[in-house]
Amino acid sequence: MLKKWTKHKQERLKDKLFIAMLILPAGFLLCFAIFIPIVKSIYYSFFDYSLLRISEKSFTGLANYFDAIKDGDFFTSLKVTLIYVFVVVVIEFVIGIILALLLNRNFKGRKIIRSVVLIPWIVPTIVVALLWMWIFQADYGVLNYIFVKLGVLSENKKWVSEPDLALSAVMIAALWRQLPFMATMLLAGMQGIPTSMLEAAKIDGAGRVQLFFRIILPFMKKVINTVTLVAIIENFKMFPMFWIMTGGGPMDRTTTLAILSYRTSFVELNLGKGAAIGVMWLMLLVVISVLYNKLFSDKESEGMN
Amino acid sequence: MLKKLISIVVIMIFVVSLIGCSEKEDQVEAIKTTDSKENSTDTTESETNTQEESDEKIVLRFATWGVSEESTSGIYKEIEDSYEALNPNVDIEYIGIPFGDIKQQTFVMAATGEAPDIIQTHTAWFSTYATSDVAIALDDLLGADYVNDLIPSLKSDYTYNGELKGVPWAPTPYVLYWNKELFEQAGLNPEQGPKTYKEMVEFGQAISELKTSNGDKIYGLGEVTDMVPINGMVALRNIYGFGGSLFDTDGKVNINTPEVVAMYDYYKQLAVEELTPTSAKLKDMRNLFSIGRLGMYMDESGARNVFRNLSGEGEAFDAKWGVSLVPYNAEDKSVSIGAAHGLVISKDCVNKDVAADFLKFVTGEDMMVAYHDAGDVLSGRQSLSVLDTMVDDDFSRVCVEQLTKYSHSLPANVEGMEQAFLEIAKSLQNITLTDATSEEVVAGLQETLEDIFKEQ
Repeated sequence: MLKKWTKHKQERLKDKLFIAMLILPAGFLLCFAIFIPIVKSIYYSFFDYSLLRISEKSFTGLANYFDAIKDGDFFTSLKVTLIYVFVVVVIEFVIGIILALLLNRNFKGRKIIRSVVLIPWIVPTIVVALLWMWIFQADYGVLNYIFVKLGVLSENKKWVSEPDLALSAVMIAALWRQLPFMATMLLAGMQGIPTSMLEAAKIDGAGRVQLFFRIILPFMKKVINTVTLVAIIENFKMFPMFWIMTGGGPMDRTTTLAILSYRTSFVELNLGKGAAIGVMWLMLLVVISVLYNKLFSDKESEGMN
Repeated sequence: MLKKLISIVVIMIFVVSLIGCSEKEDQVEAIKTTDSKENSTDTTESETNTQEESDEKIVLRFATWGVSEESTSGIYKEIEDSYEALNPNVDIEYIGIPFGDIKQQTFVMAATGEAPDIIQTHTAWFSTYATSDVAIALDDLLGADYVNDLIPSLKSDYTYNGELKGVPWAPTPYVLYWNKELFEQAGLNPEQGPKTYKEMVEFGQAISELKTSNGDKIYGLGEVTDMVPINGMVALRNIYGFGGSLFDTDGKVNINTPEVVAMYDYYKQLAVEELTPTSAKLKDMRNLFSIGRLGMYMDESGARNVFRNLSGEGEAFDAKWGVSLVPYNAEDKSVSIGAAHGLVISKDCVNKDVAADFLKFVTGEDMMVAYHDAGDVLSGRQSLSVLDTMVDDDFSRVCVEQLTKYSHSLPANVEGMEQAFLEIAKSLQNITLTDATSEEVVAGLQETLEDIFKEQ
């Protein structure tokens, strides 16, 4: 009996060692690529650390944090970031699910359409930003040309240089880039719904709307939770789209936390303050992610009860 | 069991390849640093000799954006080949970094003690290098004769606390370009540019009445207002032209003055009457000018080559535009500023004497004439700027006259100047894109700049 128990214990230890071996390389890489930079950023945020005077670095406690908050730029950028994330993720989800529903139907050329839809997602974000910057160009951009020719606009619009339009222009470019990912993930989730369940609901007399809200959406809850969270994180840290299309302008109307942190660190060369903005930005993202997950898991357990 | 075995093999391969990569890097490092004798065991005699030769070589690492750009890469090759031919013991190693990234990348490199020996910079952000501990003083390295030969306004632009911290390499003044065809269509004399700002605005208004054959808008007079530091610096041309200044004689911020308010009124007028595209970058102006949709604007001397390329007409396009000194404004003379691509030697440079010698070579007659022929750049040295080989046509004559006689030096380099330029660019957007009055914008800018320079 004791011999059997010892053998069992040894096997469990071996399994644990094996698991550790599997995790070790990934953990090693994660440590270098993520944890060390984060820890270093947190460390720098407590110092008066400027690239102008590399040798002089003094501990200032929370001064960088107070300084960033006092400036007012932080809250303006936070507001821009939150508006951008909320609008993009909501629209992305709504259009994504409509697209997924359409692609889930049986029609001729479905496979080709599914591949074509993915194209914007394959294109790197920087290329997308450059592409849309030229499409939106006020004087020789193709969008104004088409709209004016069609009579939709009487004169050219300054899409990326008008303070009230610039953020929307970036949102459109971001949606174009990210929509395929959302639609594909939702489509995958949709295809995981048991057909027996859908057929049973139909036999019970459920209409399309009831099918969608009572069967499809509840079954896709976990997929929706994951993809929307990924979209929130992706957009919360979005940098290249803004930097290339608007540079944070006009008049800071598209200055997000990412742009503010970069500008503080690499234009003003104030690494300490830039790191403090980055840390606050990271904390916000963690809080939002935790709250979002909690909200979904609570609803899930309510549903199960 | 089989799965476990495969997983272990995959992990082993992964770990071994990681170790392999690091060993390879170590080997590369070792080749760079160790004595050739240590490496000689596995090599043939000829290889050993080559190794010895390369070990004796002084490597000058030169961070520049020009080497990666098609229009200038040729001259960089010529510089490298010529200098290495004259100095066989020196190896010029270019580090190509894009224009927009070079400052932050070189500062990050400097933070790790690995700053390139020589760094290309621009007047718009030179103050950031000058006020840092990255750029070293060059007066002693270059010698009094060289330093005193620099054009005074450019020398001032590259000086900090009385020390020369950079060399103006490829200077260019801002001059006025006008489109002769559009002048003619607007009933103006195509051979004569405006003499004053008032006349320039009137000409712009006349040109703005025109439309292209497709019915597209034509702008009369362009001013850049995109939110980047360089555009804030460019606006100084107008601030000075209107009789204003950034600082008073005591070094205090002096933006809230009637002269500067008048300058912002000028921008407001251009935007309200749609004489200029708003939030436009310099490249937008160049595009519009080259396709015949912009009547006039002010740009660097290097713009001639850009027009030739963008118009698709090559040198034939030169006949379609004219160039003149910046028109008179509040003062009884033309007022412009000079911008210059500069060169600095970094604190991490080991062979500072060699780097200084290279700077002298690059800014010397042979290389400057070659660069002038390739890209219309002028010389920052008084003795070279007036050479027949540098002033070889009417276009160059206007540019040299603007640079040497009518260019205002930039404000003294102080910490925060680049942010100040960015704030000026932002204020230009404020005046051209919103209903804010010039008085409001100027008052706000005064406050912001005082805040930036409060610790000076």
